[in-house]
Amino acid sequence: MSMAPVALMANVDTTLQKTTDPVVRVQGLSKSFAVRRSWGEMLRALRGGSSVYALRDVTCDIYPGEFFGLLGQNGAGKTTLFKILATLITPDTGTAQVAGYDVTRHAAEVRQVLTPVIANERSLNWRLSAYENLRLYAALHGLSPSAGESRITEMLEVVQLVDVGEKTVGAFSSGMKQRLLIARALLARPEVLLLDEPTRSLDPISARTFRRFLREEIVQRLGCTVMLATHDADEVFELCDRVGVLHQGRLLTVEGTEQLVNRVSEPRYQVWLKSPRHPALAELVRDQHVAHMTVLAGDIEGWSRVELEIRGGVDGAAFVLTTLHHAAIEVARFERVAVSLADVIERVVSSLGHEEHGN
Amino acid sequence: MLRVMALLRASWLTATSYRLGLVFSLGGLVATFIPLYFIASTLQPLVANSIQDEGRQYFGFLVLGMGTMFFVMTAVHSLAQAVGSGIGNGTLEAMLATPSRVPTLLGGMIAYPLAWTAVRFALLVMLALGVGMPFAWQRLPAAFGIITLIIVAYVSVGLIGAALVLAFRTAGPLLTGTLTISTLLGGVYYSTSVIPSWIQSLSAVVPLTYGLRALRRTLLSGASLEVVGRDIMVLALFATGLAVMASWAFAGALRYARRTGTLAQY
Repeated sequence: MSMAPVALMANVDTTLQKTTDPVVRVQGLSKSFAVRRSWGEMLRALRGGSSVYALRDVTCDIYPGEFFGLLGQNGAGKTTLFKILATLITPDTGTAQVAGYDVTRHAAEVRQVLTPVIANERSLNWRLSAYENLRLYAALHGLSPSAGESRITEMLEVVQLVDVGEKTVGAFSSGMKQRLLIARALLARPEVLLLDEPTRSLDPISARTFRRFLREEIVQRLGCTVMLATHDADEVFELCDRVGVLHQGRLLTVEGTEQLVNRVSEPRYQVWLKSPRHPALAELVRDQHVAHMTVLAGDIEGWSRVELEIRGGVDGAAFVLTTLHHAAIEVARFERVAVSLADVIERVVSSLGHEEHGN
Repeated sequence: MLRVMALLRASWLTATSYRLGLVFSLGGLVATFIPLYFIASTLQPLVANSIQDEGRQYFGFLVLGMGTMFFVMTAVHSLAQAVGSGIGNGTLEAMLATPSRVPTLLGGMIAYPLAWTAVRFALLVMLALGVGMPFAWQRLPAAFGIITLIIVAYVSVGLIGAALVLAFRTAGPLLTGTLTISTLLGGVYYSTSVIPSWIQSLSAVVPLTYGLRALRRTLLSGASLEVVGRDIMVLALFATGLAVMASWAFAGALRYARRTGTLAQY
């Protein structure tokens, strides 16, 4: 399936584009990698071999102060895009600029304003304290010893590790190490911070705390532009202002998170209630407020789990809930069915297909 | 310079956190020194003629040979090891993402191993001075220059090895081969003059041959720069040529790794 650039650009949300210049500008970026060949294949043909696209004609702009999510499955090209922006991989074609600097021609300048959070905990020195780890990178970022010390303390406060700053990193939990990696990246006060799956090694509670920390401390307090790559749709929906969906190297869409959620979410709600055979429910179905009703699990200690496909968006859901309440139907839970990454991609691809046919 | 010092400090703190390793590193040196002294004393009459131009005392000859080999081994292996482990654990990528220049990072990576080797070399020489090794103190600056040239030549070989590791994940036989040839043909344990004629010609392409000869003549016999000038000149040519080749090789490997996306594959 080929995706016309015109169709892709049509999905770029214009309402969120600021009057300021983008801090990250990616235009027509492509990158392919050679496919590793077996000994037999190499002996048959010494030269040649095939390659696979990691990125294809990716175009997007990220604006100052944005929390931008890059959503995609494993192998979608998220890490490749981040590494190109961090000057660690050179693109085949296209351009990428950070704060006006080209990532290939002005790599040194780019590294002054953009820092990737290398998500690998092993890239910390586990034998050293958090302070010593940061002292090294403060120097590598060109901070003087005195400026470095105050910045280190400030960043350890930001990531809430100042009390354990003298402890060796080997004694840290995964969550603490992740926060230390962020502190390391923040030492240079970058304009742009790249986070590649920062919660992948965290338990659900630590991940939730970490997300709150990202939103409140990094974006709101420090004013960093954050680009977050993840395959967790909920994470993006919870944190990001805008989201780009990357699939097989192609950027399928870039739009406001709310806009995407509304576009791809199903109007399906799971409801825990008593008396699923109540006439009020039947009436909602008959009057077309509820398109479809399925009892998923019946009579668990008197409660039934019901899935409702509700028409009319959020207003429709509010109407249904009010109706249930007025009918004195006891409701324990009423929640929208979460949309998975696979669903997001499937629906974005599907909607792009419709638009292409429409065009 | 601050960046190099920061890398040196981090390496030092890491090394001192492995206390037993540090003790063994120095303890092993003392343990090696004792048999070295007695073996050299025993062999002195047998080798005296062959080392007439290089200090005459076999014990001093061996101490400088082994001490210099400490530097050669460190210079050859350290960068390849640092780059290899940096690729594996992501530190190389993390450092390359900072605004620090690549030569600075490489200098910082090798600073601690070389500094620690200098400490071990100094300890070895001090022990040797304690049991009567001749030493021309007034030639110390010249000796420092010669050792620096040896280090530059062999760090360059190490940098080529690091480039191979960066591009292909192996340095192949380059590093081990360099060490073996330098040990056997560079005059570490015996003068190159005793090597059979057809192999002796091979020692002419080993930088250590010139470095060690100049160092021994300078420090053990107190020879002036005029006497060792030719050896120093050849050594300097080796160091310059290898440094240029190594810079070219590493820059190429880095470009290759950035193009193929293999700076980090942990």
